[in-house]
Amino acid sequence: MGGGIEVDPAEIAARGRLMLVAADQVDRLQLAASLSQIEAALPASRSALAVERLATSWKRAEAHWARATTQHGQAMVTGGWEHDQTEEAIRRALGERSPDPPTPGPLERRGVR
Amino acid sequence: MATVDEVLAWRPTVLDQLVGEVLRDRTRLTDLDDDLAAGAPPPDWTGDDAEAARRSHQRLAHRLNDLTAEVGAVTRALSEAAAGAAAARRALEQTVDQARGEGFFVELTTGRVLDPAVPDPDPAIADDRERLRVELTDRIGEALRAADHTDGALAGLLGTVASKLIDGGTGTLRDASLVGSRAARRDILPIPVASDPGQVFGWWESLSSAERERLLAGCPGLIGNTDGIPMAVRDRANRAYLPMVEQHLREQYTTSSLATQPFERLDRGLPDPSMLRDKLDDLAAIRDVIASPNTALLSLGVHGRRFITADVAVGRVDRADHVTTTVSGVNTRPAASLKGKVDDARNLLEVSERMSQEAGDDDSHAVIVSMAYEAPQLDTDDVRISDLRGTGREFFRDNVAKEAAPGYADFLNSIDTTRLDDPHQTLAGHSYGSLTAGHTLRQGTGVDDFVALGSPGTGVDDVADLKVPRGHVHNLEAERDVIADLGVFGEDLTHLDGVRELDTAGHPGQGLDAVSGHTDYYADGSTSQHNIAAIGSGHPELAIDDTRGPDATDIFRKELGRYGDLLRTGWDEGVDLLRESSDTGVRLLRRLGVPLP
Repeated sequence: MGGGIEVDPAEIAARGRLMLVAADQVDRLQLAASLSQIEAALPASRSALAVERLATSWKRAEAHWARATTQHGQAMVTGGWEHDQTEEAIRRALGERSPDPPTPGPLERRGVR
Repeated sequence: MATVDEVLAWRPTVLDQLVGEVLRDRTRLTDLDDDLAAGAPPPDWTGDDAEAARRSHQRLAHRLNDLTAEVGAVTRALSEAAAGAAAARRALEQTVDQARGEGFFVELTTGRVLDPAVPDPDPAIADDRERLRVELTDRIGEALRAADHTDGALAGLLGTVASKLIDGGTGTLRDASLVGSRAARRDILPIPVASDPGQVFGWWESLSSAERERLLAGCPGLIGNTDGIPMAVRDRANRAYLPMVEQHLREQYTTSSLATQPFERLDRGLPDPSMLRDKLDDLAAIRDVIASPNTALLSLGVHGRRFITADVAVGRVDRADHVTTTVSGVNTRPAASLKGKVDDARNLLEVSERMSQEAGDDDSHAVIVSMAYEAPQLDTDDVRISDLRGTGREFFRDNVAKEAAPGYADFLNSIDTTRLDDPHQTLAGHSYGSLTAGHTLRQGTGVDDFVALGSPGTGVDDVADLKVPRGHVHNLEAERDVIADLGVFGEDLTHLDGVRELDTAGHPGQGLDAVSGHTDYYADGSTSQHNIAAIGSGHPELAIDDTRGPDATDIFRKELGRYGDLLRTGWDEGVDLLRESSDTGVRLLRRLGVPLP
């Protein structure tokens, strides 16, 4: 690992394992699967037509997040954090959707972009 | 827009189940808050790798926030869509069933209601059925509009989420879920522009219960005074609205009373304090009356030029088999007359219920005391003929009645519209109120029986124009009631064909007292009250006919009809002509409370 360790590597690994658990849980969610019921509930509706796009979006989001988090967790567990490569891999997994996290603002400023 | 058969094929319960599943997923996501916090790189880990791990962790957390906000938004959207779809579908199904039950045919693609039946030969009954057909079409249209609104709102939100336009922020996952939920709150379907009672009822029935509660809390004045909203809901809304109006008027009164400089009130656009005082007195009278049990405040009009208007019901208008609406005349307003009129209504209700019990039908009854228009006010205590040229003129013109009529017609129609059954409706108009009632009936109302009391005319020369089924127009004219003899507004009902004359004389054998003069038609224990109750309770066979035949009063009536023509040409001229024409004319003016030199 690149310099500056002042903490027990076992603790970093333990935290990495928690992230692996989180990745696994998100991977199991299958958010998109239940959306297909909208068509059964509202046949011939515009909502039914809108489902497919959202389902695709969610499947991708879940998979990407799980993959990026797995990569992140494994890097912490194995102590093999190579920050350039790992960061780049995570960035690729999450896509280039958003810039680096902004400074937290007041809650009311959030919502629909 | 969706068609009738498409919406009837909707299965909102499937959406409810889906909400449950998405809710579980949302909980699984928000439960990751602790894991994410515990999985963050240790704070005492320093160096480049530590910084990179932190950046990565933050990015992952924020991205999961976005996903959680999206799931939060979809959960709420689905929940609101489930409620909206259920309400729209239920309203549609109910209306289609009602239409079919009434023998109509419903076009499943357009939602139009067609009538295959041959029109009834009685134009009033045929009109009533046509009104029902239009109302059912309107209600189906509103249910479809609501379904479209629900579908549009859900589709729009799903699109917004798919486009990644919901920002979950940088807080916890629970925060993000709330952010998403807030972003998904849908607008309430706007009230129909035309505000026809059928459309309004269709709109109201198609809203979810949560949306109705939001409207009740946010706009009680609108909900309480819109025809087509169910009566029990209007009562709730107006009871909430009354103290708000009272407080507002009190504040206005204080401000306006403090403006003492000449033209200050005018410059600042402040209302006249005496008018505000009068309105506050009206509100106090209404508040007192509706504090009694078994009352309902069905309308509360606060924007009148001079006073507050109101409809107060005794009994359950939304359930009663028979609903009688009484329309008051000159010089009535809540502060001066509401309590007395409501007492009369209670007595009338008792007599009506007793009649039903004795007849063995056990029907239920409700009586509405309607002061829903600003009736002409004639100050008879301190008035000169020169003053009457301004004030009294109102009484001898029908513009107030004509202006009030469309609103009254909507109100009466809404009594039928907001119920799935068809209650027997009676409209009883006293004095100038009978003119208002007459103009109202001409609009088409669904009223089954009309009773005129001490009527100076109903604005028609032919009873068919009142659009009440044949044989259902009734007239009561007490002895020495000169107003009832005026015939100022159209032909005196006494002289019209097709009007049933009911008695006001005493019938001691039945324990019924006589009434005389212009103001006692509702007197408890009177023949007059008995007759109003008999008609209102659907027992015309119990009403007592006026069999006195032509007497001196009736001959006098004919004569007075001539003066009615004069009055119609203008009050100013009428007063002068009456004063100069004969002793009879002078006596008439005195009876009207006009002091003469």
